Amino acid sequence: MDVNIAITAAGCAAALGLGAGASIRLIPAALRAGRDLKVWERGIDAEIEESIADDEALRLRLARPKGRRRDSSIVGLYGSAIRHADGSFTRAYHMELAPTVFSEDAIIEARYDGLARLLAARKPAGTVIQFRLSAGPDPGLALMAHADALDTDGIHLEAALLHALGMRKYQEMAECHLFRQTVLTAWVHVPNPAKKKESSDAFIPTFSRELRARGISGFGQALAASWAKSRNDRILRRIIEEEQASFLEAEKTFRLIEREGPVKLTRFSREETWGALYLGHRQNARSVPVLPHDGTDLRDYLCGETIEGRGAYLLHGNYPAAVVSLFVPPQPVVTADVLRMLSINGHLNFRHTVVAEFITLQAEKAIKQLDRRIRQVRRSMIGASGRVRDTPEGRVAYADLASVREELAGGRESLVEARFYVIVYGETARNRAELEQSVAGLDRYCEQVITEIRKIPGADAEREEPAALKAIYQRALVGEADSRPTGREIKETAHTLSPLIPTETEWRGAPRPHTLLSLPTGRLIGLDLYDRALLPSPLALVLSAPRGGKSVFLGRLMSDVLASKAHARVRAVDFGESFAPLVDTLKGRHLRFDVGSDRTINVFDYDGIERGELPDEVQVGFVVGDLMQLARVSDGDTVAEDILTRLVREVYANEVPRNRPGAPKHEPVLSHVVDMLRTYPFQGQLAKERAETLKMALENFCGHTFLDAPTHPDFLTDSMLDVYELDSLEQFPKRVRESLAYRVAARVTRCIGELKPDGTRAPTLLVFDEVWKIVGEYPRILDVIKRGARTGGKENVVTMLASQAYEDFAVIPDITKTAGVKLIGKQIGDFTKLAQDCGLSPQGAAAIACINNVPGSHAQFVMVLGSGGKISI
Amino acid sequence: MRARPVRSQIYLPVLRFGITDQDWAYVLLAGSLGYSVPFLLELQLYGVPLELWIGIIAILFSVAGLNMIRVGRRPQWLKHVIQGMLRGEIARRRLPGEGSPPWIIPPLNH
Repeated sequence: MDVNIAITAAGCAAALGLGAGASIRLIPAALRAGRDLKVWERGIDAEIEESIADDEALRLRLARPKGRRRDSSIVGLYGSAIRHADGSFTRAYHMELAPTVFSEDAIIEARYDGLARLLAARKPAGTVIQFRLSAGPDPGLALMAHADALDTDGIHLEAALLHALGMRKYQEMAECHLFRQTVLTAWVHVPNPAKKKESSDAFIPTFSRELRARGISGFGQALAASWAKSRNDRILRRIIEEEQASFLEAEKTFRLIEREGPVKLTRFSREETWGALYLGHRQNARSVPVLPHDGTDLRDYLCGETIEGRGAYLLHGNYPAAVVSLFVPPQPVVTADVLRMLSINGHLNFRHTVVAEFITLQAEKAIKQLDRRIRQVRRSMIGASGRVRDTPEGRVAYADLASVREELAGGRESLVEARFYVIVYGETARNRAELEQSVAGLDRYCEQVITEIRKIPGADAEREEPAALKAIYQRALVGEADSRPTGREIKETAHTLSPLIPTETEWRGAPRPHTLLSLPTGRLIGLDLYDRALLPSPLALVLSAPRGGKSVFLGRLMSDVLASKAHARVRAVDFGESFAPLVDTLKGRHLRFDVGSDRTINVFDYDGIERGELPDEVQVGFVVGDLMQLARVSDGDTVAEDILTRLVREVYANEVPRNRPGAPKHEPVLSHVVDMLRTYPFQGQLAKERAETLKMALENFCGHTFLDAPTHPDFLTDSMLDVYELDSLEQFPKRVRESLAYRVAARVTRCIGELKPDGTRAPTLLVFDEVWKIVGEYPRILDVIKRGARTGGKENVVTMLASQAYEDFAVIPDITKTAGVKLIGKQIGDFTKLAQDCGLSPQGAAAIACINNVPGSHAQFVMVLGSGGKISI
Repeated sequence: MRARPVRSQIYLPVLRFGITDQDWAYVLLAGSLGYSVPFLLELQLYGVPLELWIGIIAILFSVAGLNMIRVGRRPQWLKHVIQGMLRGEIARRRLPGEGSPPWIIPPLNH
């Protein structure tokens, strides 16, 4: 054997041995390591390690984040208008939402016809008018307005405590997002008419500038640089004069739209536009940076947040977002109230934006397309043999097209394209758990929106699929709308599509409310009965069937007024102690008349008599009214009325001067009048005879502890809340009862607030509950109420009359028809007359019929504000 | 409320063989290419000029393809899918230094 072979063989054997040895040791170790690795991978350590690696990768990517750079069509602001990269302009407007849900159809139709005229007005083709109804949870704006309106001094402390508990309830409801707020804006995008010309030149001026800067020797570099610049940012740049000229051209269209609009369009200021743009593009932002100089590329600001596609939703900043588009419009017809399902809906209290966009088409081109289509349909109705195939589908299609063509003839109507979609946002998500919760909420919200849209007859909506969502969402952002098709366009005439604009809302409430009310449509509003701008008449009616929540509601108003308005006074006339719990709680006075006591009211007494001030005509009238009632004088007996008026004046003239500051109060009483009847030198037989009969009638009550006595001191002390219980009079004889009730009414009506340094009076609320009983038992009180209601406005007095049915007020039609507020609760039987007198539309009447009270929980009322032709519901 | 008619004949596309008005241009283009290319290149199969076959096949395929794109899909589905693929899932935030020069040309530079 050769030595070399032996050495090689030995080497090989040694290597084999080493290999085998190593394998024997390493293979089990490797298997063990593999097993250990698998175990470790399933363990928490691996998860932590992976998470650290992910975080590290993200950290490294901070400088260069993943994805394509976000872009925007907006490059800057020119004045208060938005300047787009292609040289076009957009202007934003505030639009007032109209509280016309219960208005007459004609009012709503007129508004939508006006909007249709706006859409059909001749504008540059490609002009987009976008209406955005932004809705979101109301944090309690009415609560804040109410807090601002609250007086701090001179309020009723117990009432304030009770009131605060009620407000706390509303605050909790607001925190649970049970209330909604809405804002309507319009965004008008006017295309750049010279876009093609200017765009084709974009490279050349850049190249020219570069060439001038670099010289002929730098031709290649200038070419490359100008190509790179014009290719990268695709911004149309103009010199100042050109920019100004282009803007003036666009401004003509803006002005046209402002003129044509049936609702007031108020331009956004430059700061408002910038704020809306910034906050719309940066979902996480809570404040707006200072607006940069003109000409600065705003995309650096607007695109500072990543938008990430996550399948069915996008994550814009920390907010997941989705889009629900209308694919099938309402059909076969659409009505002006079609969007109430979305604009006034208590189920949609989450953050969302209803967007309706209208694209102006080139009129001639649209008509040509329509003509072509008519020809196509006509051709399809002719068979191969030349015979006409008269199919129902063909007939309907032809009739449809022909009707549209007729409408378009003569420029009476215009074809427009509309896009309608809803952007829905989830809650903010800062970690994975919040995101899951937020996405689940977003899914629910989208389903809710789709459900509501599908309630519109014939309409169908779907959530956008991932690919379309990415394309549509970016263009749905504030100010980004343009005329490029998205596939969601609905072409129809302007009058047909205008009802897709959401313009309606509920009544927004008073700016300085004393009482807050929640609406079934998810809105919190405030009521201020003393706001004369809203309610010119100081009379309010509350109508509700028994157990309809009438007295509770009145009690609530009484408590709120005392809690909110400094030095307010509340006087109520009650039957059956409905207000007794409230009086006990607020430590007010519950005034009753008991046989055997001497607690009475003197009708001659009035505020100012103790200072020796003579009475006014109203006071004299009240006294005369009471005396006529006692003497059983009929209303038509003018002789008796004249005699009593003269004598009452005489008595006042004789007795009042005995009062002076510091001296004991002296009040005229019934006996003074009877004495005067005995001694007054009447001229003429008729007067003498009538005076004699009056004397005989009134003499019966001389010395009566209730009718011929000064006012009991209990009634004289000042109190913020007095409730007179008229049921306590039932134990008295009829005439005494009637007189005392009359005196109560007169006293209540004469109650006015104290004079403030500014010359106005502190507010007073007068409440007459169960007017149907007053009508039946004490009809003369109605005269007192009439007088009080007519003069109350000047004295800052509001009178509230409550009863079960409108027919109870039939005896005072002149007053009830002009009542400033009518609060209508559940009605039993026919309420046609009520609806007619209130000027209610069929929808308003239907709202009354739909009232749904839940005992122990809530009662619903329809509130009619104003009277005559100008009402809000 | 006044009923305002919504006429589906206006907002829905006209279909022939499942192809919309606008898409017929693509069918014609495919058919023309299918005919003209083999014709110019004088291609034959078993002695039969290939343009006869290819032209018809191109038309049939384009009609089938366009039907496939449209039926059961939402409008502009293909466009959105392609756009989505090109743009990617993430539209990332802008970084410092990625801005553009002012869009109003300063007077001194022109």
